[in-house]
Amino acid sequence: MDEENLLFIGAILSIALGGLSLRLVRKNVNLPWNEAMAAHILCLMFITKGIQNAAFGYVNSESTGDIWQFWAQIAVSMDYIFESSIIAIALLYPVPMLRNMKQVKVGLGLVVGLALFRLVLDVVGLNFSVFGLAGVFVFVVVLVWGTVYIKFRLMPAEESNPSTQNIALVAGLFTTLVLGHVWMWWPGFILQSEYFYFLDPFGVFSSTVANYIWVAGYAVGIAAGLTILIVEIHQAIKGNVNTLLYIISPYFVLGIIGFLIYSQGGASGFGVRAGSEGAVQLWATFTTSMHFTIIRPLIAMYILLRFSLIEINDETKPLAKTMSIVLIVVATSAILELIQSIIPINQMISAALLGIIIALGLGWEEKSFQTLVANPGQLRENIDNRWFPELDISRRNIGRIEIACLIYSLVSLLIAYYVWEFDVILELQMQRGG
Amino acid sequence: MTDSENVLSDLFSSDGSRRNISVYLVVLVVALLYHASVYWFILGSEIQAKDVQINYTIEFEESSELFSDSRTINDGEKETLEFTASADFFDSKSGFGLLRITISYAETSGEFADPCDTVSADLVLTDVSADWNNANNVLSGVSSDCETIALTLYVYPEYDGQPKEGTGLDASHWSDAWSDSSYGQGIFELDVEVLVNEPPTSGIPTVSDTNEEVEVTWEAVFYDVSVRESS
Repeated sequence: MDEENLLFIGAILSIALGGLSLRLVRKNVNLPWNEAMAAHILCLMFITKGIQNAAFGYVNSESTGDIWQFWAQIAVSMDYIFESSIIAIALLYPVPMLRNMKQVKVGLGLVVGLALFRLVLDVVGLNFSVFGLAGVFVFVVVLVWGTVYIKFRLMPAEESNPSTQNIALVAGLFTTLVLGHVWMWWPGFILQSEYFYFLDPFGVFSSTVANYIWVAGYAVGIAAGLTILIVEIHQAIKGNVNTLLYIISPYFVLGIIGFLIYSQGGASGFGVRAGSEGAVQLWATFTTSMHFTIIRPLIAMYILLRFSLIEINDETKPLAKTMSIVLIVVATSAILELIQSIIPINQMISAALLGIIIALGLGWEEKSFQTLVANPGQLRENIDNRWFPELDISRRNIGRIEIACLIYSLVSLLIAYYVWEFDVILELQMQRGG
Repeated sequence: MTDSENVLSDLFSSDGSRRNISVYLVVLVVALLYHASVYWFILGSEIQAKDVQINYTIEFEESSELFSDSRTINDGEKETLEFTASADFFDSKSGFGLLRITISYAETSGEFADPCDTVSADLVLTDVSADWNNANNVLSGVSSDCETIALTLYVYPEYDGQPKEGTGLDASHWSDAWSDSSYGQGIFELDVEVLVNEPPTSGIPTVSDTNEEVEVTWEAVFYDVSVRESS
């Protein structure tokens, strides 16, 4: 299984998670305004992320003709939603940074404006330029969620309670969702390795300055990750262990192994239509791509279920279980396929293994689903009310986010068609030295 | 904006929080400065050099597959001849560059003073992937003097056998750009029509010229691409 196949798997996972959870979030009418908005945006983000994954899969597999421009434009347009969604969620959840209607309007207006501004840049031929502020969302993530994490995780013992620890956990989980793949490059950042500093996500399309801003975001992301890791280890030593430690540690351990592998290869990181070879490619597929395509949906599902963004009752339980089963079955079978691609296993054995792994996965899902549903994580108990201001935002207005997202996606389709028909990206490739 | 509406005042509300968050922000700034110094100074020249565009020369080594066919075509009739390039060439070569077709004939009636017949040839536009709209294509021809008709179809877009220049990306990109085996796959069809020009003695009952033998040679020009840095 190569990378584009994993992208298609990721597309299925993301769209399944986004679509099914959106139905469940709609039914949860008791959510406070900020959680309802964040949950809606999270679901839509995963639907569009799924479209992006599929589009990137087509970009990587379409070697003939110029239709790859269409898919590339769809992918970057959907990435604009992803980045804006991340910023929006950071401003709303787990504790709202926006505390009155004016702040909500200005804050979310800027977020929407950023996505639209980037689309306009693409239409006028300034794709992948510095003006697009690519990577700026990483700075927002480390500033907002990082600060919230530090604030609530390191609260004095007398003020600390399960809710403060859960708020820190949510902030840490979202930071992991966004930056987990970057954390696996931490030795490269510190040891000045080419595979980190030569990262060129947009290849010939982006300038040295644009690459700098992008990679600088990764640098502060790694700094934030290492800080979280140190805090978690320190707290664990003090006997205050949090689930987050078990989730983030593997990323940093894999970073050490990755350093040894990346240092052997000439290729750096990832890029649009970039090819890298052998062990480096394999490692990137197992780590970076797997984080993008499989781990992110699983983290999101955990947040949705654990912190009651989805209300589980007799009516919603079958759909919620279906969602978690789909995610676990597709994820486990994809992982087995990945393993099979490097260790050739007899088909009968692999079929049996797949059955066993899925059975174990479903067994684990049954147990963990019950645990999650039975013990939802509280974010508001024994927390000062000023952290959670009440705003009068109707569910009808929150539901309009979906319509806005749909309109944006349709406009993106038109723009992608325009970009393809008028060879905008190919022209750029020639102008910028491709 | 009241204090309760300002989240920053709550984030920095106690000495402990102020210290913790300040330390965190300092760590971020240090990381940013460290990254900037490595990116612009320590590895600056290598990173700048990475973005310098390399020029590539793309060269082609040609090899051809020849196939001959001959037909005797009656006066006023049209025959369609077909040609499919060998799969071995598609497998072993980088691409199918162009297709040359020669249609030759002579006056074979044996009659005294019989002039050459008129032969016309048209390469039919089919669903074979090729550069059908290339301005240099010669897709049809006519001959009335026994001259050979030469047709040419440029199959691989922009291929003309001459070396090309490419800038940026890497050698494998340019090699891949010239290694698409989908071009030229399929059946080419050539319509050949014969119009007999009767000899001056055709009034004599035993003298007649009713057909002509036409020989068609298909030359499928394949190439191997090689890419080298030129600067």
